[in-house]
Amino acid sequence: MSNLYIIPTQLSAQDRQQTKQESQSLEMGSINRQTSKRQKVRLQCDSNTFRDVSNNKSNESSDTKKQYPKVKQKCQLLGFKRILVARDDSGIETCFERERARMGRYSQCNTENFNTLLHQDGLDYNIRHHQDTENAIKVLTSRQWHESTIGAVHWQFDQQLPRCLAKPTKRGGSFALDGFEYNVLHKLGSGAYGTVFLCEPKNHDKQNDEDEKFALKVQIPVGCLAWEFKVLEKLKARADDNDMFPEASSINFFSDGGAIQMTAGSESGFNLLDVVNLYKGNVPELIAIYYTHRMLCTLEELHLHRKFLVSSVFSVPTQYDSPL
Amino acid sequence: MLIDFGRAIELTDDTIQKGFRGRVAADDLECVAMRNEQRWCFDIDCFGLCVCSHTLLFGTYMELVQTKGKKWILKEPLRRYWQTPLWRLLFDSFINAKAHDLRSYTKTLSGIKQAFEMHLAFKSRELNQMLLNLNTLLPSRKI
Repeated sequence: MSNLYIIPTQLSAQDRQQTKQESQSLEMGSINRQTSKRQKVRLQCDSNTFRDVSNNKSNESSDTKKQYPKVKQKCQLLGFKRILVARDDSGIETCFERERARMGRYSQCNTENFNTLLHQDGLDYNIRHHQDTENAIKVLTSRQWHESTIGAVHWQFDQQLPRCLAKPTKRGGSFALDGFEYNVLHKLGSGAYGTVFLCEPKNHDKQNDEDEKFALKVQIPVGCLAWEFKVLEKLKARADDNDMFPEASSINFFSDGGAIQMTAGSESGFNLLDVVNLYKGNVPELIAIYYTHRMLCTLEELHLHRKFLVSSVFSVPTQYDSPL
Repeated sequence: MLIDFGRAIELTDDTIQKGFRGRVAADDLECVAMRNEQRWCFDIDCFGLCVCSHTLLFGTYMELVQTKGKKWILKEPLRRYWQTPLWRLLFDSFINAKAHDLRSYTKTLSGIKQAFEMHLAFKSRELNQMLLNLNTLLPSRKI
């Protein structure tokens, strides 16, 4: 059974035993879940949550107790089924156990592999990616992130995703994010997990509206979204000009999903596949050469200067105001 | 503009040296190293680029066949009237790329880029006309 289980490296013996028990009960839980005793299992899980902490209460300082319910609330709302809080030498370490259903097919990994990330023949991509998303969520949950970075992080767990974003209609609609009102103009694109919309502020000047439009990426599993936000931050930090890649300005977490606000690559939302369809499969060779060249430039910039791999087949919305 | 970094991964000296393993994409989009269950690093994006270029050029998704020499080649042959040296350079070196060495990868990439650049500079006027044409063809927004 492949359960994801993160255990801090410096656990005391007592803690380790406890987590072991917990993992057993969790496995039981997942078996029970399969036999459609869902309600019962959920109750059981809830009562077990934070057992580690409640047992060690006397050892902890008062301010860790204070922080604790907030983290609990955040993580539960993010879709983490259970949270383990275990003590190590450096203080409180928060670990997440996430609902497996939300993780998708790539994220199942073995417990043993998780701690030994380094393998003889290369790093396992899925484990690495998983760790990245976990770390991104951890960092975004912590307070310091608010203060230290350019992009703002908003937590709105008491609210659900705005309706026009969760269930898009052709008419668009309006929604409020962190106190400001925005209009949805149209859909830019959609994938397996989420949708990207083109939006603009509700009360803006119609004459000079060019700069105010932005893309909003809405996604239900927030792990990848949090990681993407971090990637965009890093991409920005690693070069002076950022014309080549989108620039994130804020990330919003709701009780049932998240949304990144970023610069729109194009207002039309056309990608290369649309170009192919436009020519009915017979794109002039010169156009193909032109786009290939642009992709080569992007790849070079990304790999050699900003040190990232895309690791998924990418789409390149067309923007061709300045050929060469 | 390149978008969607949800599954991106950070490159460090360490990861370049070690490479990655594991399968990421759907079956037809798996790069050659994944099909051979070998380590991969830069090749995954090179392969992605090949898929995009192939779709642009042929109007179909890329299909590969394996030759006797265990080399992967395009199923569909390049048309005679195309710039075959250019495309052959791209597909041959990117599909069968074993780029775990940063230096050799940089060299290959800049070589291909230069070849494309030269061709475009040679035909710049024609290209400008075509791009303007494309601009008028595209509707202002996606429906």
